[in-house]
Amino acid sequence: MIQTVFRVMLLALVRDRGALALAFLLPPLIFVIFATIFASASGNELEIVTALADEARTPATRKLVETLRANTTLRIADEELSGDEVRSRVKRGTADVGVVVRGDPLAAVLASGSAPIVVVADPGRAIAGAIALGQTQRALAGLMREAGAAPGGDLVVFEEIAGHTKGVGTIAYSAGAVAILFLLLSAMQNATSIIDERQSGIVDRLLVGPGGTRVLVLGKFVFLVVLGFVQCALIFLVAWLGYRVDVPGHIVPWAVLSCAASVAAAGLALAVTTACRTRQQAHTVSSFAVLILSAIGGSMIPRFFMPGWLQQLGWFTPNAWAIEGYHAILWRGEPASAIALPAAVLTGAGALTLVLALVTAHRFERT
Amino acid sequence: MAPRGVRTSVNDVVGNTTLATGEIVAHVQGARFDYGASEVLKGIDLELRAGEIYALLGPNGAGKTTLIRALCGRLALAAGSIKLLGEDPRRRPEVRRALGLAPQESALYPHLTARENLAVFARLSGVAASQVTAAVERTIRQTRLEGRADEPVRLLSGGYQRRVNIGAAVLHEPRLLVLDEPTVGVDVEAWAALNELIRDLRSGGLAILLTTHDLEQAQALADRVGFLVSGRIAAQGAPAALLRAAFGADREIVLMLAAEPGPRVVAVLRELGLQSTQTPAVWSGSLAADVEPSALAKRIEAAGAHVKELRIREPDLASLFFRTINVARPS
Repeated sequence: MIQTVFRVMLLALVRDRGALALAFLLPPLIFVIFATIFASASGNELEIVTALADEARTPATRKLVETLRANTTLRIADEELSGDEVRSRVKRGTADVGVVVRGDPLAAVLASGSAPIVVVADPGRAIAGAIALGQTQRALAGLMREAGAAPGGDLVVFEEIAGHTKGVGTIAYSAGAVAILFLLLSAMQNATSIIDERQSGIVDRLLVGPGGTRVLVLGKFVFLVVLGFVQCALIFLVAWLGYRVDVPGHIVPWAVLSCAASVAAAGLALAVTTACRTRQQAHTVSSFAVLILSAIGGSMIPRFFMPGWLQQLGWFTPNAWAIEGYHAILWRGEPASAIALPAAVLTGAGALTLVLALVTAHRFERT
Repeated sequence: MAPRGVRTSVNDVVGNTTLATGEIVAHVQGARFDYGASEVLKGIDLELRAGEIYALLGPNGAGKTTLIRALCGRLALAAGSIKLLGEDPRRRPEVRRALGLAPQESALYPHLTARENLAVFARLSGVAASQVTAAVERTIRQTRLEGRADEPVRLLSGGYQRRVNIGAAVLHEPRLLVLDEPTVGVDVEAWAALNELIRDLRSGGLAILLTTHDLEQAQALADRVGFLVSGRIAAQGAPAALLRAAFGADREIVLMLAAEPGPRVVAVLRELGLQSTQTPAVWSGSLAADVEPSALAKRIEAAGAHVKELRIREPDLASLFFRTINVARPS
């Protein structure tokens, strides 16, 4: 009898293409994404965007800068920056880390207490800082060896960008990452009710009414946006109360961004579910969509770990834009205008997918 | 959410004249429809009248669902026309409000109570917010849901769920009610109660289009029946008139043989006017009033068959249904 039940399960799986894809295609696909990320993080493919300033401009520091530029792990733009510009870039998130060469490491010791080289990092990207620190120390050791000088441990110091409570950057990042992940999951789950309504005949009934499917889709959209906003509020309430993430200090941009993220998730969920014929099909497609968008978009692993091409691909996901927006206001303390682009992209994506959902649902009226 | 253009009552769309019994509510003329290369409706003509139940009968795939969808204005006909209160429901979608649809499945929200469901569908049918409560209360009385109206639909019996399902289709006081298999899967008591409800709705002046596989229900309720076979109305009219036309004073005979008949027996059976059924050893047909059943059996046995059983009965809608589809179906 156990064999019979096993056979039933096997046949059900083999004859359901969606379940087959979910069982055998999605796991290796997700693995490939993670493997790509981890391979780049542990091998030569890791590219940490690094802002560099050479304030000393001595022969020795020029050589050090050349060595650092040649380092494939640190992606250093070929431009001259000041120390303040480097700190600003790290704070804004346009660079993962910064290296400021303040003095010649071969020359006399600088003023008391100051090392000639500073690695500037955002505590929210502490791992990137540690890697940059290691690479800088290695380059410096090479320079010292060539010059016949004794390598000194105090020549490089680590500086976390100031102005925020230690650890809050990571929390702000994870709050944003988890919020958009759950917005997508929850929206997909709730939007599948449209399939039940189609199968039960509710949609048939509504089609003779004055609103048709337009009312159904728009009503669900508004509900999903409100639900998503409340979910965001709960996550960030915990982040504020439990981890001192300054949500009240940025309440307006936070609200705008959360609303935009909810719009994006709701639109996407409705576009997926209106295109599916069965709940099983919707489950398969939405599992694919949420896992892949979240993996590429940085909800599972910070995007700076990813190779450059994958980081670029991430901008096609709502996750990357939502995370970027939350991080800008809640950690980097940027002005409200910093969320303008992320909010516009998310709202635009939500509106586009909503239109797609309306068109797809309208097609059903004509069958 | 109030849909744009919502009127307070179907009267605003179709006028508040009460239709007299027998007045035409819907008129389908020469309706043809194709799904790709497949011709599903092949020139349907029918009229639905106020205060009348029209039972549309036919085997699966005959085109009943397609006809209902066309009537609802969802499908563009390849030829012919459909008029609802004199208007084309595709060209003038607001006239669809004269139509209420009770789908075969229980098209309700299972976690809401019957009253909540009715309120939801009242709004979605275009009933003005200020009139929803009155419409819901009227429908609860009409469908005899008092006492159960505040229970979640998922906890109601199949019969009560069907009542709510029908109630949700008449909240906005339509002129035409389409009932798709309204009693499928309910017990005998609920079946009788639902039939009573449908009769009451007819008495209120509604035109009712009933699609069903339940021939007993069609016989019990229908003022007129139409047999839809392979996209055509093979016969339509009052059941009694159709039965008289088909059988006259004849009785229906069902003959069960001990084994599948050979060619010689088949020839005799055909000569006697009997028709084969889906079971090879079972044949049916009509028996003229002046023919003795025993004489018929003797003649068949003389041809070499062994008659296991011979049933004689007065013809009913089921007899007519099988005769009609056997004649109308392309071989």
